This record gives sequence, structure tokens and C-alpha cells, in this order.
Amino acid sequence: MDDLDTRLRAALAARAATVTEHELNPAEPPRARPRLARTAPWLAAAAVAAAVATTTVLATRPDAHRAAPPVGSPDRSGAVVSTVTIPATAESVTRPPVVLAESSAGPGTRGSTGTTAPTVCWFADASPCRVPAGYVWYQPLGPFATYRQVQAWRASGGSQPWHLDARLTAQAFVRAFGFTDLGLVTSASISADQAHIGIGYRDPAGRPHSAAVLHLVRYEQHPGDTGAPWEVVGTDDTTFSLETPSYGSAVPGTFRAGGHITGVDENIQAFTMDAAGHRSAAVCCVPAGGEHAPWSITVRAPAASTGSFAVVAWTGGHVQAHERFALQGVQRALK
Amino acid sequence: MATGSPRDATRRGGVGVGAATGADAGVAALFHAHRLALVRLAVLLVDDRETAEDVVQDAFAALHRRWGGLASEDAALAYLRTCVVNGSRSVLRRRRTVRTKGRPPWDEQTAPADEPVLLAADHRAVLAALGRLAHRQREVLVLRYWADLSEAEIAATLGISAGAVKSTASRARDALAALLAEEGF
Repeated sequence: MDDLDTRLRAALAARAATVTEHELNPAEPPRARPRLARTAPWLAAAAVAAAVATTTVLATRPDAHRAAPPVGSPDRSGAVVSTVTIPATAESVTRPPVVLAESSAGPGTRGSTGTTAPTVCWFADASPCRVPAGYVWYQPLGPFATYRQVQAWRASGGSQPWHLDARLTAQAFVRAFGFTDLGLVTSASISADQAHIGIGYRDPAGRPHSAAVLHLVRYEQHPGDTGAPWEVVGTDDTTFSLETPSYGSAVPGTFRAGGHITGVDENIQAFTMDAAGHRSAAVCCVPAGGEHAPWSITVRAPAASTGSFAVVAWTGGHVQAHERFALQGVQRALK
Repeated sequence: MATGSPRDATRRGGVGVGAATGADAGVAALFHAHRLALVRLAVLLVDDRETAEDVVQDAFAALHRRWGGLASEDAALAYLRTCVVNGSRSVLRRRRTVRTKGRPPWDEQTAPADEPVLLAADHRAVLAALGRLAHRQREVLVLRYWADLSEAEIAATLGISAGAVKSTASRARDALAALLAEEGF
């Protein structure tokens, strides 16, 4: 063995040793998906019958961060939506439960046999799902403002293929806010349709810190559509949260936003911004600190915005301008 | 030891159509025993831990689907290794495509979160040079010098002949030495 062999072996061992068990993201081994026919034969028969005679919609429930949509209740037309929850496949621990919904009057893309393709009920403008009243859709916060834009992008051949990369999309989204000091991907948990991407920075000692974990989903109509671009729908908040107004709620032109924070000598600022780039002026500043201490601030909706937009709150100033941030997806109330 | 592995299933009289629970238990046992090592292998091929974890998770998902067709635990491990190498190669290929065809203009190259800032300078230089080799050359060197696989095992993992492994390793070492010399290491 010569010197190069030794150096190569040592370098690889040293790099491998930097990956330790406790640093790995929690994950579970894959498990078999329960078979519908085996667990509930009558239900499988009902599903087959429904596929022929009625519209069948395979819907993945938007596990909206703070508000789960009601299921199993009458929809707007009065038709009853029955549901069967099938546990998520273990290929991804982040995939939300799958809900098989059978509606007697649901829309959807009817095929030649009268059946419909499985559909996700995530974005109001992308989904043909008929949903119960009070259902909370994902709010498209960016980079796409509407499903029409997604279709145009796909029709163009998918230029800017970074839209298909959850990490790059998360980075792009944050930079669009002007948070140029947050370019580091600190964590990533990505499944076929959902992604949770940590975005952060390095402190002067070189240690990485997460400023927020962005939640992204595919802007898609059918589950597992890997050609669909990623869309940011919110953040997974922990020590800095944005809780009011609630996710998906309709807000007036000026409203109060707030949540909780754990920290010392914090200085919270906020603004609003939609996927088209319309934004309000930043509101400065609310001093805060303590353990799970409440905070609130008055913000304005983006002037030209008519649909969904993000409330963006951030704090910083200790090491760099932006150190933690949180998003809440809301929509403009109709006048 | 009944671990639910393909080997155990063979003893019970057939791996191929084992019940789902058998696949669950067998894959889970391998997952808990080998996940870390496989993530390390993937890190050495794709550089960042998050991507490596994704690649390994995909490999175990593929193993679960293929459980019935594997004859032994060794075969399962070999299959996982192959999946990790192929998955890593796909990641690198996608990265190259993205970089070629377009990135967001505001996007900068960012170091992975687990960048080995504490590694010795020589280790960093060797790893950087390794990253500049062709994918196949890098794979052969990692499998040989980190995973300690034989030429035959590397050949099986990569789906190439033992002779190709030998020649690729030789060329990879030469290229690595040249790159290190270029950098003054």
C-alpha cells in the first residue's frame, strides 16, 4: 500500500465519521401498505362500484400546518363524502394520510370508462375535488401564484428545472424575500409529494443554524406527479411561531398577526408578500423574549394582492440580520 | 437468529412470496443494522447528508419491493449497495442537469450543512480531488477504499466486469494523484 492509498483511506474514513447516528433525521423502515381487499372486503367492493357508477376521488388530505380540514361531513352540494383512511406508505415518513373519498356528485376528470384518476385535494385552483365546507386548502405562497402558471410552466417544457428540486425552490423562495443571508440548506426531508427543507446560515464559528423549516408540496393534481413543480405552503414552526390569523383564513387589508417566541432580546419585524411579488412595507419592530412568550404585530396585506399571500415575520440582529422566520399562509377577504 | 431476513425466509421454505410482515421485519432489521453505514457510503458519493439519507431511504423502499426476489441477507445487502450507488449517480446527474440548464439567478453555491469543517487539510484536498473524478472512478475508489469491497464485489455492485474495476481503479488513482499534485498536495 503506498502513500496515496493511505491518504485516500484516511480521508474517506474521516469524512464518513462525520456522519453519526444521532445526527441522522429520524426515519422508519418501509412497511407494506395494508391491502384494502384483505382488511375490508366490503369496502373494496364498494370502491369498485363507486368507480363505475360515481366519481371516485383519491385525495391526499392537506395536512395544513395548523388546521386539518374536516372530512366525513356533507359537502357543499349536500352529497355525503365517506372516507377511509389508509396509512401512509412507509417510503416516506412525511407523507400525509391518504383518504379515499367517494362522492356521488364530485367533479374530476372522467375517463372513457366513467372512472376518474386519483386526485389530490391540495390547492383550490388545481383540484377538482368536492370538499366539505370549512376545508382548508394549501395556500400557494410561491414561487407559483396559480395553477394556471404551473400549467404554463409545464407547457413551456419546464424551463428553469430548479422548480423540480425542493431544496433549490426553498432557497429561491427565501431569497425572493430579500433574506440573502439565508442561503444554506440545513436539513431536508423529501418524499414524492411533500418536502420539509431547513433553511439557515452559518455562524462565525462555522456552525449551521436553521432559520426556518419550509413546507413544500407538489403543485399537482394527481399524486406522485414528479413533473409537478414544488410550491412553498408554509413553515414548520417551533421556537418562533406565527399562529394568528389561522392558516388559510381570509383577512382584511390591515390585521393583527402574532404567535409565540422563545429567545432573548428578540426584535420581531414583519411584512406580507404574495407569489407575484407584491409586498407590503416591513413593520418594525416588536421587542420580545422569554419562554414561549406571545407576540403580535399589525401588518397590511399586499396592496395589489387578491389571492393567497404570506405573512412573514422574522427576528435577528444577534449574529446576522435574519436569524429566524415564520410564515403563515392567508388570503385576502372579499370586499 | 430469526431476523426476518431473506436468509431466514429461505430456511422457512421460500423468500419470494413471503408475507408482507416478513418483508417488514426483514427490511426493518437491515434498516436498523445498516442504515448508518449506507448513509455514510452515500455521503461519500453525493457529498451532503440530507441527500444521502434520501438515497438510502429510497434504497430500502426498493429493497422492500424486491424482497421476494432476493435469496439471502448478503444478496439483500448487495442490492442495497447497488441501489445506493445508482441513486447517488442519479442525484449527481440531476445536479449537473440543473446546473447546466438553469438555476435561480439569486442562487449561490452553498456548502452542505454538514460540511466537514474540522477535517484535516489533506483530507479535504483528497475529498475535493475525489469529487472531480468521473462518477464511475469515484464509485470504484469509495467502494474499494472505504467499503473494503473486493474487485468481484465492486464489479457486482456496479454491474461491470472485474477487469473494468481494475482498470478504472488504476486510472482513478492516477487521476487523483495528478489532481492532488496540481493543488500542491
